[in-house]
Amino acid sequence: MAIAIDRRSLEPWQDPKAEPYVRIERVTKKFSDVYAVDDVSLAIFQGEFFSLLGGSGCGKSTLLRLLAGLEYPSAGRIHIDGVDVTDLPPYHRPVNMMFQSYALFPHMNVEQNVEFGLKQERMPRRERAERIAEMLDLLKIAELGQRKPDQLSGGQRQRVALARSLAKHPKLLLLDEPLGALDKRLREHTQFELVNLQERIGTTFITVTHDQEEAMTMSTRIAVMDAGQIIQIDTPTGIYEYPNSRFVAEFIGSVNLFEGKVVRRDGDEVLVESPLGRSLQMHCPHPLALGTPVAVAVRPEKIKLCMDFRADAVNQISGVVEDIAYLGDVSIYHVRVGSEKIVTMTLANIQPRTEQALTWGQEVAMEWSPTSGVVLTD
Amino acid sequence: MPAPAPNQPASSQRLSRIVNVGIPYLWLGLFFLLPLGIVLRISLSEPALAQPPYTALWEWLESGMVTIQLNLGNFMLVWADDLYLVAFLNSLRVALVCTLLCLLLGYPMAYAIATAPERWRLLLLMLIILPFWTSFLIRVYAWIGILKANGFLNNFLLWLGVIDEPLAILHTQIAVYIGVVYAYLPFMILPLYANLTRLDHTLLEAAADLGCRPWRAFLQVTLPLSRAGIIAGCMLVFIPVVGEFVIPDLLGGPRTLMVGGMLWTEFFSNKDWPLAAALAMMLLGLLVIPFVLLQRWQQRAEARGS
Repeated sequence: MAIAIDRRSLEPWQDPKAEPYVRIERVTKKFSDVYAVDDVSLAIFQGEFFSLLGGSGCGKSTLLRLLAGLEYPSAGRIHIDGVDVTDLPPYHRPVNMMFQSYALFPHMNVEQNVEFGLKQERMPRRERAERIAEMLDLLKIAELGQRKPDQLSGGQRQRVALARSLAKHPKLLLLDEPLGALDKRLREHTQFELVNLQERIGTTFITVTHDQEEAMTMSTRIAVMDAGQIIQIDTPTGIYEYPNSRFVAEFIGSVNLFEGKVVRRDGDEVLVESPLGRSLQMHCPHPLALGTPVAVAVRPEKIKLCMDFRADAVNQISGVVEDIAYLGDVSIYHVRVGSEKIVTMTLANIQPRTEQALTWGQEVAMEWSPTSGVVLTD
Repeated sequence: MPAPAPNQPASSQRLSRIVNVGIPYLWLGLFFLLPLGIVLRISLSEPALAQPPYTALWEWLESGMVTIQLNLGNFMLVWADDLYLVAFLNSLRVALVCTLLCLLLGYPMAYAIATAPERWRLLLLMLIILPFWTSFLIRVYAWIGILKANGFLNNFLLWLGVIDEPLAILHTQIAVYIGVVYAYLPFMILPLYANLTRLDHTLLEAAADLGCRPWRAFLQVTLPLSRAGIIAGCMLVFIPVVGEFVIPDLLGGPRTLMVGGMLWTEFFSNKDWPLAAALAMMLLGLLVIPFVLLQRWQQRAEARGS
């Protein structure tokens, strides 16, 4: 029996009739002469786990602070749940934020920290106590209620910060590098916990991160930012498999870029003349004029070894293995093609390493299918 | 049999521990406990026309007996005479009022400096510290020029037309308050500033984010977190002001009798060292006991918190 899943309820951004929960319209934020956020428009839907991804100084944190009301935009409007909140101060917004440094009040214990926001909205004492218990339970820190922040470990502090920011049942939770202060092992574990938590309570999450792996694991959609602008918004798969620019392709994962020119079009296929000495045939759904300078982007794991090299076969190139990085599960091979180009190829280590065929200085032939990469113009 | 080797470092470690702990104790003993003992010993003697001007505490008699004479009369006199009590209470009141005024004036100033743009902070701090570069005495004298009947302040107010005749400020309690607050304000501002600059600004952002208006955030976050600075500033003002002598002497009138002035009179005018020493000891008791109690109460509160 097939289970019918309405794709639109899982991917509301595909539905033209869906009303976005958070709407950022042409927002610009200038700090003296610097554009921290430059004419950004963004629609985020209810229940999403949305990530703003970019390097430091790309404007992702500023955008988050604009949503929280900790900064006001120089231009543009921000709507949350149909209400224009652009000019509302932070204490009047139905939004809570988890700070990168956690910003726990050091003079209050865990319960008092969680209670702080509830007190501000004058919730009666009994309700407050119930809500605190609910939050501490949700984050499995019930036994820490009486501790002060300086008596907690980093992971515990992160949970308290999360409990505090969720206590008021905000319409929107903003997370600034939520896992940034945790060590690697704890971070990987917490990624999944955070996603499970978000699915359970259904609150819309917007998170800022510089860690692409984190963004890929947790998000429904990712916005890749650079220099105050959004370069691409898509699902993790979309961002990875179909980057829209060299910047995104290189920012997420590693990629081989083959520069060239469109020399022939044939339906959805284009032929790109490259300095590798042979033309590459790629799938490309959008029309490109002949002579357009492009880059063919192919991920290292999409490249296969081929046993018999034929000069007329599609997308076959040959080169010499220069470097091998053995990572256990996979190995990364750097193959020199021609005199200058280094092609990176990742192969799963299906056999124990000693039995593997490839070694330094060996001549190899590689290939990929026309649908295994994208043609980039930007 | 040779001594076991591990003993060697252990004993040298013990020596260094004794030196480390011993030097501060030696210092305190030499420059705090010993003088205090001498003052205590003087307070228990009687005044005499001699050099030094007080009687010896003990005497060797021919028969080989030692007689020790402890004179509690000085303490009884201080206790019995209302004049001293009034001076004590007056000192406490002046210190309390001035500490409060310094806190009310100093907190906003310290807060403003701490939150000022980085490039202004050093300049503003320098302005607070600048008066220290002039002699304390000269600064207090300057206030006489400002406060006297035809002084700067009165002339200014007359010129403005706010008053018709000069205000009598100099040689009143008000002049003492003005002088003390002026002189001790930096001692309040500096510890508060040191405390407030360390305040993490994101805590206030977190408070605002959780629905807290700026004024309430100040009361619920900034103020409790600056408690250590407030206590330090208040102590630095309160303790020296209780014993302050120069300001009430120069700016105050006949009715602004404070313990500092009494001490001066007893020591230098009446040459009654024992009585002055007894006064000093009682002043010390008056200051130390409340602070010890406060500290114990704080420790207990902290122990309960954790």
